[in-house]
Amino acid sequence: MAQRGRATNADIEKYLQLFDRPIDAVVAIREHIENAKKQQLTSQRPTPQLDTPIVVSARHLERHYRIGKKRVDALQDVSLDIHQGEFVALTGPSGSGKSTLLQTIGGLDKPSSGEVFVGDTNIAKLSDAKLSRFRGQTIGFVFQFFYLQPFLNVKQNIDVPGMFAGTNRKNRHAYIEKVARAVGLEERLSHMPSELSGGQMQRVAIARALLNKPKIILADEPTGNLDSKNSKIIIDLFEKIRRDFGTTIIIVTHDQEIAYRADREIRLLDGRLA
Amino acid sequence: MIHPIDIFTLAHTKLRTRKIRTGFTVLISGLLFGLLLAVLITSAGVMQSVNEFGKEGIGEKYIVKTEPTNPPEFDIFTLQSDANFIARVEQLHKERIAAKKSEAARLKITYDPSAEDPSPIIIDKANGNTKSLNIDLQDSSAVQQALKEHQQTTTKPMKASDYTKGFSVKRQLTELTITPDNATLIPMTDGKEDAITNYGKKIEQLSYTDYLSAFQSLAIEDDTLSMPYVTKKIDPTKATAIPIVITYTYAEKALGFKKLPTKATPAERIERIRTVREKAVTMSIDFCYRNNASSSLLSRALDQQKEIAKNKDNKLYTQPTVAYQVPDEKSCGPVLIARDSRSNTERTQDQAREEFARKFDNATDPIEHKLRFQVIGISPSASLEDTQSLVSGVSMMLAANSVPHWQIPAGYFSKLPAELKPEVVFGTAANATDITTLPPDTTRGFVTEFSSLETAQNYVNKYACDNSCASSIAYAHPYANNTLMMRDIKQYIDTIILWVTLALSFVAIIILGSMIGRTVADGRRETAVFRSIGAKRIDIVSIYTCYTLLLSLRIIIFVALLGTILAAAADYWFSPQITPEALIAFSAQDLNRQFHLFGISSPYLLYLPLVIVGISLLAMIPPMLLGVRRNPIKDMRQE
Repeated sequence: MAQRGRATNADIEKYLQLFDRPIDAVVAIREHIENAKKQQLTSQRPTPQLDTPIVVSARHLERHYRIGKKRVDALQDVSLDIHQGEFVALTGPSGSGKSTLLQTIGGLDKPSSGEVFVGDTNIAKLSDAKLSRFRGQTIGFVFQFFYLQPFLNVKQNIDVPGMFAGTNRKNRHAYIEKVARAVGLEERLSHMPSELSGGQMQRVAIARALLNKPKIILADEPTGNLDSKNSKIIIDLFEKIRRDFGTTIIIVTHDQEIAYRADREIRLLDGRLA
Repeated sequence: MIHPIDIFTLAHTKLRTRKIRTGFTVLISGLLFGLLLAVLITSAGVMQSVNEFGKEGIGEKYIVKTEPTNPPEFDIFTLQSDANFIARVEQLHKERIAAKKSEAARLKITYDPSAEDPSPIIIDKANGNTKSLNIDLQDSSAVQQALKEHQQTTTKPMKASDYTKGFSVKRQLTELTITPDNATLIPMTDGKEDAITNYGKKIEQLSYTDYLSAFQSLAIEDDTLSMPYVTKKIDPTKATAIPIVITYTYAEKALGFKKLPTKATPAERIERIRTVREKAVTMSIDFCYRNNASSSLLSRALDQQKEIAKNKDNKLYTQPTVAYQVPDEKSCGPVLIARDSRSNTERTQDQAREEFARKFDNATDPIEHKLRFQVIGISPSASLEDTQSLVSGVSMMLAANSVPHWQIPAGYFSKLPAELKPEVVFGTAANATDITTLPPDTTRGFVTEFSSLETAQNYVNKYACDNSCASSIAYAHPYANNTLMMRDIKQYIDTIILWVTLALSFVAIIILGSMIGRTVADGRRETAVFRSIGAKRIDIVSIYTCYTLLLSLRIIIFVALLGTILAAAADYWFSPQITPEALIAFSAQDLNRQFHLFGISSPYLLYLPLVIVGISLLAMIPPMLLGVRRNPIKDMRQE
């Protein structure tokens, strides 16, 4: 009789007899473990907040551009709604259009056709100056490579979006301390980026994205340059931000674990919703 | 709109990001403009010093000299084939020969016209008996008389008013050069007569410096031009010698000083100047006046003395019938007859010949005068210490317009006792009252003081010689001080600076443009990030503009340091060397005065930072416009 937690030779013999080759037995065990894990993570996923107002609404988005002579169909007939306070993961293989969709929602890129409403504003029709103001006031961007200013300290780096927004310097500086506390870097405000770890740098980038109190944070593979421990910290931080600030989080990721922790996963394949 | 402090913060990080590139750009641009700044500071220093030194002498006066371009004797070449002129020469020649024949017959002396008065007319028989003038005989009496007649009918007196009409003249200044007709008036250096002490020496045996510093001419000079250099004031009515202002170089030589060695220190040079000036005004210089008859007799006596000495032991040598005695070299005395062994007939015949010569060749009795001059001041001149050096070059430039004559102040001269200024020496020039009209055959000019620099400059421009002065009858040039010359130099420097600045700006635009272009290209990702977090295009433009201004500021600071250090070094090395030369060139009385090569009065010193900022901004515009027009997402995608 097999003892729980320990398989006898007979048990293993009996299991292997179910397969033609031993390797098939190994693959079966691995798939089993992954499915169990997925089931566990999915069960932890919070209930989608679909009762809150729609904050992003894309309709029939198309985005085509050329690289040399080759036409790239980055987005094809993409329609989606994202609600306020939702944590959405955009997933898909490389070149599937995740980043293009994120940038289009963030007003960094204009769709070839279709509409993108953020709140009541169709950002596809905004002028360059209005788009800049929109980005400054409504969106907070977080990038894979952090993009901090190497010769500005943490406090100044967090302050950069406030500089462009032209908000009151005194109020801004007080708020910097608040967001720094939110990301756990209140003790590091006078440090230079070179004195920080990758995870800390990304937390500075997140604090920077929070400074102008945006409705939406768009993060393009924010953990792509971090180890698993720091990745977890960053995702925990996004959840905390969503909880504390009520901010909508849209995150592009290849990491399935992170995707499972989102309220909703939107998968793209060849520029279309999968 | 982004706050200026925030613009500065973000722009400043850009400078720190590319330190090597920024440093290289600052270094290269700074070197170019630093050298220019050094030149600007140095030229401003020179101008400033020239102005300061100039205040001591004649001061800021606008003086111009107008001189005839072609001495009248050159007219002979244009008249060489003139039929009327040739006919007149021929007529005068015939009349002269007829008169001389008649007089020779009366005096019972021989006269051979073909030997003594060959015809100055050439007849070309092969070409239809065409007549022309024999230039070799242009000094013959008939040609000279015809030429004088021609000049009197064709040329007018040179009137200052004809030239200065339309220009605002302050006044005409007296300058009467003492050039006695048919005579020499030469200083007796070391108290000895030059014609005797240097007899037989060739001019090549005199050194270049001796030749240049030797006496050139003597003039009764307006008080405006001469009195500023008089350091020993006198009462001319009680004078026992003629007061005179001489050049430093002559005074130094006459006082027996040897040229200072090249390695002499500036302090030694200044001490030498002080000593020469102090001693010069205790010095008197004798001049020897000899008319042509006296000079010719002296030459004959010297030749005879040499001949006799050479044949001292030659028993076959026959002594001349009339032996002359060479006067003492310190006397400027007459040539006396030491021995006369002529017969009565010979003596009578010689007297007849002398009478004949007096009538036809303007022969006169020998006259000589020894005149004493008392030095009362030193006039500006180049020091000629070393003609090859830069310092000496500056010295010559500064003294380029100084009055070339030894000067007798006109105010003093008019009050001198009559016995000190014999008319035979000083001639009509000494008593001339109308200094504004010069005779037709003049080689002198007139000196005019204008009421403004502008007027003087316009006058000089109107009468300036181009490449040659052949087309004009007179030409004008700055005189007696450097006011006009410095303006010319300033304009010249201005032009050079303009072109150098343009050339440097062109090079700097390329350097800065490529540097800023690289910075903008390297900053595309950063620009894209800024744009994504809310920066407007105008914010990006503001940051790059501020970045460019900060870069310009660094260049300006580097240029200021480099230019100042270089100019200060030039001042440190050259100022002590140039100062003694300038003291001589300006005859400045204050020997503590320094000639500096460091000045900050040039307006270009203000323009230069603006030029640097201007070209930096100009260099920034193309790359920045290209950069800011780019789609940030495109740049991010490429990243």
